[in-house]
Amino acid sequence: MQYFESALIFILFAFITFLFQRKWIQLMYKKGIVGKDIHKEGKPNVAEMGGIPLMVMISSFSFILFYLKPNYFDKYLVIISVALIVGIIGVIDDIKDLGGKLKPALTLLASIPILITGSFDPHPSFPFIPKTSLTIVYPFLIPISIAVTSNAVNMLNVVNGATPLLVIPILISLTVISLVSNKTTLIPLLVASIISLAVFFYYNKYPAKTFMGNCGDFFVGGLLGAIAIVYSLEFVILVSMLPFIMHGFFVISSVKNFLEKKQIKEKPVIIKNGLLYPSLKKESPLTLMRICLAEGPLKEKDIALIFLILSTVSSLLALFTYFLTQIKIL
Amino acid sequence: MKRNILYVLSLLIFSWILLIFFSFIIALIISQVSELKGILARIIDLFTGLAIFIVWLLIWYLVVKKSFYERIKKFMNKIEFLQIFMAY
Repeated sequence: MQYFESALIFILFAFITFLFQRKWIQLMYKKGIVGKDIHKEGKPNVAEMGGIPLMVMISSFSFILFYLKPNYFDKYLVIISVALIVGIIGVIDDIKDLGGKLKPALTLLASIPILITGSFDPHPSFPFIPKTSLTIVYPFLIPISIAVTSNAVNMLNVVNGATPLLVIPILISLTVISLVSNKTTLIPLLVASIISLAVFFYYNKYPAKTFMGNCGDFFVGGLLGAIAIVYSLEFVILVSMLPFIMHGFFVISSVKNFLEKKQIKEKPVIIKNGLLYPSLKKESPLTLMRICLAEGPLKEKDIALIFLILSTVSSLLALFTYFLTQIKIL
Repeated sequence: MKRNILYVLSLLIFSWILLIFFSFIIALIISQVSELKGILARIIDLFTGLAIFIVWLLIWYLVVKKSFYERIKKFMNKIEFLQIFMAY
């Protein structure tokens, strides 16, 4: 009976999210809040800030659960507060460009709810080291973690459908880990996030009718970062986010600076006859997409498929890594 | 497309193996150090996380940034050269 009720709630949640997303896209087109889809011939206009319905739905769902069972879902308030702060920074950035340095700096502030409430355990697990003592350093690493996860998700949203295809496998692997590690309170939030991202993917898949916007990317990244810290899943989420980390590392080390996508003059890929080719210019930044194209040109939706495969593999590795964190050597 | 997928997947799996391998090495070092007594053992115990972070950063810098990244760049250049060659 309990499972039936839960299923019914999630079906209703999916239905409301779907309607909200559709109305929001119509509103964005009506208000003229659109952006150019640069990877398509003719660069068509696409509705911007499509991440807002996702932010509203996941936050409302979490707040309602917290209101109904405050003792059981006590961690939700902290996680959603963090995600909302980074999400709002993203909204401001969507409206008024904050620049490549101020934006990551502001996301550092999002960790305040975790630090104030002390919702962290400074003894994270590493493979073969189930418990470490990080009492002094850990609080200083929290703001960095939130800034890294939120900006990493934002950086890799380069093709239609990228964010949902990259994040959904991570959330599924986290659901499995929550089940086996007895962290069952996390499951409703993960399922709601998977549903919201799946609904968003319906409108964001190639050819996209809406873009996530910085607001949605930041919110999703902040959510992953906060879950990692509050539920002590740091190393597991680090492994599941390897495609994001690789991309961020490639860009920063090739550009040698923190730059906005708009600030990079030489684009990493070029479009010819509906196919994406890697740029041959040495000044172009090295990105994950450019590496994906190193063996030959591809269509935009093929890149999205490669991202999905990468994320699925990294999520499986994260699952395996979770079991390694439970092993103690010597 | 298969080759594109295999190429990026090999990069991903290589990064994961690096992470796990160095965690294993660090775990070995820590297990040896924890046998020590005195102030050094206490400092390491207190700052285990910091020690892991610094060692990992150092390895990342030496292995990935200095050498691995250069190899990718060389590989990219080779591909670019091949593409220019094919165009002619």
